[in-house]
Amino acid sequence: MSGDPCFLTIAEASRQIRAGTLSPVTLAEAFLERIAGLDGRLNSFIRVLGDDALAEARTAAAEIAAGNWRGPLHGIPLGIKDIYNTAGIATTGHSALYRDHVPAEDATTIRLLREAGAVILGKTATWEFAIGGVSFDLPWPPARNPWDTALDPAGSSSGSGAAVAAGLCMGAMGTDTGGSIRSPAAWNGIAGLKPSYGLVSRRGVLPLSFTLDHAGPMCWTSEDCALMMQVLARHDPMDPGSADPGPIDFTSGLGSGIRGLRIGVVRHFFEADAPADTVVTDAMESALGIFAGQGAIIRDVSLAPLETYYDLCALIMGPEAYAIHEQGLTRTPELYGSIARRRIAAGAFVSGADYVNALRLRARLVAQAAAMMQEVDLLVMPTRHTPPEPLGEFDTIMGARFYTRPFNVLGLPALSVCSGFTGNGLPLSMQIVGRPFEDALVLKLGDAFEKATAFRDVRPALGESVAA
Amino acid sequence: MSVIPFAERLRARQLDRFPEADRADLERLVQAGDEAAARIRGSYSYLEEPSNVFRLVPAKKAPQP
Repeated sequence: MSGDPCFLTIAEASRQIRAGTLSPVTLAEAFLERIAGLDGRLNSFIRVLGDDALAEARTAAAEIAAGNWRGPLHGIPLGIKDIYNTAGIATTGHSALYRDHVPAEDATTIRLLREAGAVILGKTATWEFAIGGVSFDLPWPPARNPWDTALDPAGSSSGSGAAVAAGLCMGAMGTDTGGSIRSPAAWNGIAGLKPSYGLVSRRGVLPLSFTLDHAGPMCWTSEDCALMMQVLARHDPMDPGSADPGPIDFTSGLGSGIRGLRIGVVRHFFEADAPADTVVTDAMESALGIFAGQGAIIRDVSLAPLETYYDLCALIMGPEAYAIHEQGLTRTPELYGSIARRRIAAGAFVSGADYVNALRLRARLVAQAAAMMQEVDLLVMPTRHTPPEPLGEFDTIMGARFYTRPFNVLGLPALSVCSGFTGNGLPLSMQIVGRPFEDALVLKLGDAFEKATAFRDVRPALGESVAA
Repeated sequence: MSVIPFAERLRARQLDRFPEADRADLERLVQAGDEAAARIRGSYSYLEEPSNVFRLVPAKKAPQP
């Protein structure tokens, strides 16, 4: 595996591309060959754009050779969750309902990535409309976890997470309404950022819940997420939720140390509200020791009970999703997979008063969290309460609670990073949360942790040697 | 908690065509939603809080020719 360009990070590959020691064409060919060889076991892509990707790579190579290097994503191969509109290329939401949906325009984020010179390898698997869970009654099979293909890669950005971990693309786009970037990041052992609400445009992304949907990057490292955010974070007047916080430098603070950072541990989430497995909490304590050893100040803090955030997510996401799918579910329910159909239809039964009161309580919780975060710079806790579980057995709606949804309700930037491995080599996770639009600080702590540990040196074996 | 039979609630929402095989699980999800609504209903006072849902944005005027 050593020396395989598919296991370079974006940062490493970008430096080599700029220096002329790595060709974007060589890189794209290597990834397409790897997808052809391995993805039959993972199902992480539902559409591979081989010819288009090679053409984009050739264009990138010619531009760079002519001295027109566009930036760190120039010539970098990416995967795109199949709910992002891609002009002239089917965007299905992994659903029979949208099997023939071919958008005329790229989503804003896809346009930005193309302008930055990225090479789009293909469209990745998702839960149906980003809500359907692991489903076997759809036109494409569900993605599988590259650390053990009998296990769930989590979702809904399941294909993006699996593809990045398996070295089938260098980075990918995901979306996150209740944890759909961070959960697959956690169970695939990669980094995934749900940015601050409004920081990355959702224009041209199939919606699930207007006030909870976020778009963001999934990569092997936090540094790579920062490089993608430098391109993705743009105000978009075509997205009514888009924020305009001014220019943000996501990369210059990386590596500058965390001494004096005040880190709050939301211990009641994973010790009382929804206790995590011991192996998860042990990894969390080890991470806290690393932060303290680097000079960070650690203290416990409290938010509202986890259940309250789950209640709000159900009462807000439910009717917002049903509003989008009402026509489909009343007229052609048979075109949906069984899980998405049930989950979306449940939103039809939330009353208007309950929806409005959920939004009002949400505003209170936002104010409460803002007050608490005057005392600390960042929050940490595990992302998921367990390592990956068997494919299809985990009920994300009615099952045990995990720790991502509060930060969709609050809109705060939240990053999942790999916090270690179980004894049998399955990834564990930690979540880092920041104040609004302080995504760069979140990424800085994730980067500091990754560089203080050796967890980024291990890739899924997939029948190959394990050492990267 | 609703006391209306679930089949009536389905009909009221024009979900009559919802597949029979999925109805029991849908009812379970709806019951969970009812319980979530009950938990937040009445637990908090909103007397001092203005609604935050609507925000007016200043108009932009086109420049005079």
